[in-house]
Amino acid sequence: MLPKNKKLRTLWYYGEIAVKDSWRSRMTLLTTATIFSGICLLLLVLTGLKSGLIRQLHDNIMQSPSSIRGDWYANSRNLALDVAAEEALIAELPQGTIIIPEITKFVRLSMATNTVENVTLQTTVQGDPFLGHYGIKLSETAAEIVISPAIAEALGVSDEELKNGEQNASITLSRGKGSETVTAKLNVTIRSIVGDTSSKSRIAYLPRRYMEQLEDFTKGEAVIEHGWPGYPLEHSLGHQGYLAYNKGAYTESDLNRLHLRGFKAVSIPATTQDSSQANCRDLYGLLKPHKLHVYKITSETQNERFEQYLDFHVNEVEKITTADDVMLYWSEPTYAKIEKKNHLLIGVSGSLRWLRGYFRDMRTRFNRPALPHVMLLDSEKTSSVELELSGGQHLRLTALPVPTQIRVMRTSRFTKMADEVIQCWEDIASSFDSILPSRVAFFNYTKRWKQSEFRQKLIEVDRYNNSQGQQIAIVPAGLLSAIHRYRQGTLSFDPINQQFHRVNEPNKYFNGCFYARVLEDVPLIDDYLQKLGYSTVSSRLRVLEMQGYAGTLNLLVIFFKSFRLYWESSRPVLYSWR
Amino acid sequence: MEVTRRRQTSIGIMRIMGMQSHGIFLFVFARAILIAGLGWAIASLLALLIAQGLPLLATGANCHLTVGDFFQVLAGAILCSAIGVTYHAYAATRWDPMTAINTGKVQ
Repeated sequence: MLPKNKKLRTLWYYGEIAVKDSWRSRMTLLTTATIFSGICLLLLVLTGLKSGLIRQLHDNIMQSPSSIRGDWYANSRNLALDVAAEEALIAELPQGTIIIPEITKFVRLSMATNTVENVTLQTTVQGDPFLGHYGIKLSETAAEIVISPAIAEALGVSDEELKNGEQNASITLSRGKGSETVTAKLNVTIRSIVGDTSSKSRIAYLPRRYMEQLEDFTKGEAVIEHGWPGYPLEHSLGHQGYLAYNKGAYTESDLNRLHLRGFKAVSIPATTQDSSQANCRDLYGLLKPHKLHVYKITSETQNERFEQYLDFHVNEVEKITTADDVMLYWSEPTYAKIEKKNHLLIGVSGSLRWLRGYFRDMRTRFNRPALPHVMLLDSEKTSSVELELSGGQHLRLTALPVPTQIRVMRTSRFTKMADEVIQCWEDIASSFDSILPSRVAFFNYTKRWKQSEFRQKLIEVDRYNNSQGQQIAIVPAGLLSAIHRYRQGTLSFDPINQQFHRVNEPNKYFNGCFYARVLEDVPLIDDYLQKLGYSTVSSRLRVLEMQGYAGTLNLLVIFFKSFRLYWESSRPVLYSWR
Repeated sequence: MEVTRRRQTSIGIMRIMGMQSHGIFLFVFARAILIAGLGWAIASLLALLIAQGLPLLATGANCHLTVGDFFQVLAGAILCSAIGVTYHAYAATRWDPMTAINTGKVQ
């Protein structure tokens, strides 16, 4: 099959002649080829030895996962890693890098019969090379634990038993604050036993998801999934401000003292026309008519909508001024449905001292700011009621009876604006045992009608008013504040424990470790983390040293190859000169 | 170089018989590449034997050859041979056929 093209055919012939001539002088050719092979052999062996040495070093270093592991420490608060920051960092690191934050807990591990105290629980993640070294792959979602031989011995568990059937244990972690100790219990399955059998270390590994939950619990946050309660919020629950009742006006000095501590005192005069301020003065009718000086105390940086929460105890604020003032925690009243009926919640808490003499009924206030109680003023016996929170959640409250009734009624005021327009304010007024004069509590809505339609509308308004019974409920100030913050989204509600708790913030970690996918990535990750400002400890130097060996040997091979190239290329030239 | 010296008579005869100068170049060049390939094949065979036997001779020694290493050396061998023979193959194309035959006979 000769090529059809003439040029190609000629080339084919020449090639054939070269091959046939080579075959004719095969002994000479073989001799030359043997000499040539000597040079190639030297190079191949040299390359092989170099690769072999590097591979040997690589294998030695890879035998332990600690070679591809490094530790990182955040040098500033900004560098602390939460889940989002960690994901962003991983995206910038070489592919396959794993970061495990340092979450260590000391827990009690118990089985049906045996219990081990002081177990050091450490974090593991999916693809953890350490457990991978032992052939274990833990799922991030399964509550599985890997224990050390010392724990296994104390619990009386063996490898055979684990292979034969599921062994369940429970982790118990305690959280203490003062004399109060709360315990979290997590049921887990023992997956495997790893580690040095001669070691007495009581170490166990739990997937990160559960470690994060234990961390949340330790921080005082609630873990609703397991029913672990958060810290009761009464310890540090903030309020929108304080109401100060004083027999005399604050002096310049008192106002200055408050100002120096970041407080702003706004006087509520007795002659105020503002209904909400008037309500503050007499606490929606709970106080008798008085001539006291009343101040609303808030943070200096706070705006009218009370977006900041102050968590000073009333006694601390009272001590700021030299006046004999009485402080009450104050948050703006709000509506909530109690037993499906709309109520206006008023928070009244504080140590009243001399102010108690001004209360119409001494029972209509709470000493502590966050008791889960409510006073239903039309209630006559203690009962349990449900307060409807948004999102279908219900807060169970103990309703305290207040036999003296405060009736809340609606009134309507009408003003003739013009011949054809009448303006109507629908107000709510409260009366105390029918003694109090009707008083404007707040404006519900404003509407304008034509005079001709007025009578009909009036009938409709009255009908509407009668159908919408509004009542006042007195609640601890802390509870009112919690309801405000729950509605703002800064608190969440745990229906199991019937507690408000802070919306869990992502945990931040200041140290941990990283695992590179391959050894060569260790120096890259180490360098990058150092560039970002982290302190690191890793096998970087060892890897660089090994890469240095490889480089030197490569140089040696390149030198030999270059020498050979020079020799082979120069020989014909040398011959031709002869 | 050695090829062209030893084959001087043959080259002269081939020229007289009508082979073109690029044919002479190809002839010399092909032989050089053949030698490189053959030398590499022998070396590769021996290197494989050494790689297998080295751990037996020296404990801890490890000669790890990859396919890439073989191809690297083959490429190097062909490149070296090509560079080395180019000048001489070119020189052979410039020879006068009669002079080449006579010089070859004298040698």
